[in-house]
Amino acid sequence: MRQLIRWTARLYPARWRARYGEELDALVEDIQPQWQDLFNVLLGALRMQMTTWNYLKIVAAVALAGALVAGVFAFRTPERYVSTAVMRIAPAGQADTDSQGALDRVVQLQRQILSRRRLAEIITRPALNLYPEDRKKMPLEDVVENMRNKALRIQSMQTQGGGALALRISFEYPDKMKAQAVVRELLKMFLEQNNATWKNQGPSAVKILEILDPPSLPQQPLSPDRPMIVTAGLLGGAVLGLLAVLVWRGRRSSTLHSQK
Amino acid sequence: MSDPTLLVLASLADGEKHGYAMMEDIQRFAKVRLGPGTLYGAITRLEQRGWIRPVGSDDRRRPYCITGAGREYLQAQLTNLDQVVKTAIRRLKHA
Repeated sequence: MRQLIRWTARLYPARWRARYGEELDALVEDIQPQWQDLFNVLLGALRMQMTTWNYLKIVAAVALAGALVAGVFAFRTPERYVSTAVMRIAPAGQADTDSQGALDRVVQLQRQILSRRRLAEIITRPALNLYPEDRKKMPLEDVVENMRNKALRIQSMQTQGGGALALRISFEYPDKMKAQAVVRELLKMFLEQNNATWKNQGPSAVKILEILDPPSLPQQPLSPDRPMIVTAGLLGGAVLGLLAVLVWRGRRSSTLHSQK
Repeated sequence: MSDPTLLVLASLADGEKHGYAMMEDIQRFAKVRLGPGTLYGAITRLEQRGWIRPVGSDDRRRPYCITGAGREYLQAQLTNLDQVVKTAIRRLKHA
């Protein structure tokens, strides 16, 4: 404990330590140190630091505090991974009208696959067990709505070279394995639904031809960008510190002026 | 009374003392244990205001003594305090 207090005493400003440091060390040697002495010395050091602060130290301290708060926020925010897959939905070289028809058909398929019942089934499947915390707090319907609107993205696109229409399916989730599993499941649903329709309606229906990119297993999280958040906290803190210094200087000069 | 600066001045009123001696003395007469940080915070402020000064010594346990200005300040504070104490006692009696 005595050693701990001595180390804490190093936090006093250098000029103060040069004058009183040895005396304080001698006092710590003489007393029966207690836990409250450690905090007492720590508090004393902080107070003494504050009395010797200049504008630069204030800005630096507020910037550091900003970085610290941002760091805590960044590390408490769960990581989110995105798994993506791409499917070709029309053969290369088809006419534009056929492509438009294929696109309409896909929109119809998408509506069926992203139905509340199907997504709820994916969410509650024991092997996936998605959003367990959200499901405790809100009705399953709201969880489904959030998944559909915030985590799932289905976009039509042109394949490289612009020859064929493709569908990009991506899903964002804190667990990268589950993100991949959900995309795999959605892909399977698209294929099954399309095959069923194709069988019922005959060859006029669009048949998804192939999977161009299988569901990816993301290695890097999409968010949070921790270095960016900490840097923003540092810069935000510096700006805040600068504003505080300006306000402080303004008030001090007006006080001095009124005293004159 | 728990103002550390007044307690240190009161402790030095009967002669010079180093940090540990002040701490022990204050604990004895005021029943207050000043932590090392609080004690040296008070010593720093008092020396800056010229109310105490170190007594020439090569020892790490440097003693301090009260100055004339410090004695005047202590006297003024104690007079105020005395008035507060007397008023409070008188009012308690009549309550």
